[in-house]
Amino acid sequence: MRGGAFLAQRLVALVWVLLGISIVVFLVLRLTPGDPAMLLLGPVATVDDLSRLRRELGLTAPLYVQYALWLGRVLHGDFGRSITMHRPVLAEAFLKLKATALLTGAALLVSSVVGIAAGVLAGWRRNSAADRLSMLLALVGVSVPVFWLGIVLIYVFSVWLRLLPAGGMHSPFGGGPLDTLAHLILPAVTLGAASSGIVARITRSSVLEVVHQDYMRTARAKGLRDGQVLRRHGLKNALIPVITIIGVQMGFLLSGAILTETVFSWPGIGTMLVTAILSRDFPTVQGGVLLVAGLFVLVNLATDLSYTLLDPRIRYES
Amino acid sequence: MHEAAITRAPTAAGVRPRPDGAGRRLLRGLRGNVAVLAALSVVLLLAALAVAAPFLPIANPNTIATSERLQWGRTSDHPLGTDEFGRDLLSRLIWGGRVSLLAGVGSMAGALVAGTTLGLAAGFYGGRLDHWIMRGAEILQAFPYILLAIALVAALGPGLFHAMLAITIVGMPIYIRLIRGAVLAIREHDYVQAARAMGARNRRIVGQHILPNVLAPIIVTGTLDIGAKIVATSGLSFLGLGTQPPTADWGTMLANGQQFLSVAPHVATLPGLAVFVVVLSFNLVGDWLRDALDPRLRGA
Repeated sequence: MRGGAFLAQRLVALVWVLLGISIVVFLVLRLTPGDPAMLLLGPVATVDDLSRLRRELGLTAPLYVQYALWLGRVLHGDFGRSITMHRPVLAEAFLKLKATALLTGAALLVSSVVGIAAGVLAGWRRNSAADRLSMLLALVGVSVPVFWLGIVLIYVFSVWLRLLPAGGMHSPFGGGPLDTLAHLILPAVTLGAASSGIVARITRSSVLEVVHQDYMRTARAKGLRDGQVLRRHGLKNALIPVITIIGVQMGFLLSGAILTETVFSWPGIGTMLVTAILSRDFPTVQGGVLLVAGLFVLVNLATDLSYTLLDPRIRYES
Repeated sequence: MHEAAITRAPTAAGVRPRPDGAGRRLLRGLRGNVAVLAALSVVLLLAALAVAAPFLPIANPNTIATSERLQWGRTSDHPLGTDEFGRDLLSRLIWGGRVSLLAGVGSMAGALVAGTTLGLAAGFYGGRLDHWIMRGAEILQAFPYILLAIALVAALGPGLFHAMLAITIVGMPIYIRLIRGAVLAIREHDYVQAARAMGARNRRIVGQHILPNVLAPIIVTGTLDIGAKIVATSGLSFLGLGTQPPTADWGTMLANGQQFLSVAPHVATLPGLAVFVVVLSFNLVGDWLRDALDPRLRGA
């Protein structure tokens, strides 16, 4: 299939998936027991106030009309107002999304650097002590729960060694780059650990596949040293599947970010969502979930499209 | 001549070639594999402790003793110390393990049964049913894993059952896709066509010919999934959306202990260590099962 046709097909599928997501998000939170008008106005609201707000919000209409009205508002950028923060949900969510993007990006860097280094070492020196140690650490990485690793790192580096702050980050870049970096290290390592285990495993198997290829043997026969063979011929080919896996990890990291942010009181969208759920601030939950899910779908699409750019041998079939 | 020699040789020696069954492959994978043996022992010990918790000579996990709060060390009454309310930590770890294991296995089993049923239906019947089931799975997979679970718990209200239900729903698409793919491959095989030609009903074809052939990937994926489900349900409890106090659960114990990290690190680290060891064990056991039962997935 040609690139343009594939892109068009994916974009049509994307619209359907986004529509499906919006239906799920709408239904899940609209079918919640309790009256949204009562939640917005509080327990002291009069019956007249409640019925007026219900009419204004369209809550008296049938469910499909309510959905259409809500979707229309969302498409115009109106995600509603937060009950607890008294601000538009979209503005608040974008603000928090910056902090989440910073954390996720840093964790992705950690997982890529550590995972690729460990995987290449393990694959290139197969069955060596370094291989066994790397794969043991990768297994530990994928098995360790982020919320526990975060707590252990806080205990070691904040409570015991007093090297790094355990939390207290109020806004990204607010206290200068060094302050941001100091606050970022522990959450980024925590979030990146599991992902680096997965990247290391994929890198190892990819390197193992590449080392027996004819072009590697030819490169050695030409007299290139081991390191040169790996750098010039091995990595170029071995890292293609790894890069696509790193793209997939973005979604995994978005999920982990919600828990990591709670451990480190990181002012991101995960903390915002958990706080909103516990205070029954449904417009914020609805808007935040919709925004993150939409972002997740777009990241996945970008990852899919990057396959063809990175490896021209890959062509999509319908 | 050469062929005859080959066929006669084993008979002459009294040895008949035996099929390499799953049981033999499982046992061969265990031989000398200390890590898997240790992991199996952990899983079996945990299961035994979970079942036997009410009969063990341990303290009541919810008995508060404020005068004994945040103790650590090998005191006679509390081998693993106490938490912020003076409750016995060993007892809470055992009872918490019962809840966490139940939550993990329960959500996995729920996702497995529902996902397998939908996957079988989609793959076997195809057509419009397949289309709608797969579109539903796609939408569920379009959400980051924990995010949809959080949204569902927000709607249903916090609690262990709701957390398990949310993790079950979020976990279904993996099984739907796996089973549908396997069924699509199997339903065209000659023995399925033959059964159909002999007049076998759909229920019989699915139950006797298709399901037994997709059991191996189901068992492997299910075992590998238990660890992920324990982490997910503990994660929801850690966020305050799963098990509610005073019930012990590793996730809630960890969240409560985090506040006392500087004075009593054991309160938070021990439940987390328990989650880690159990998840690691299930991953090792799952890898072993995969290598023995479904060698095509080796290295996946």
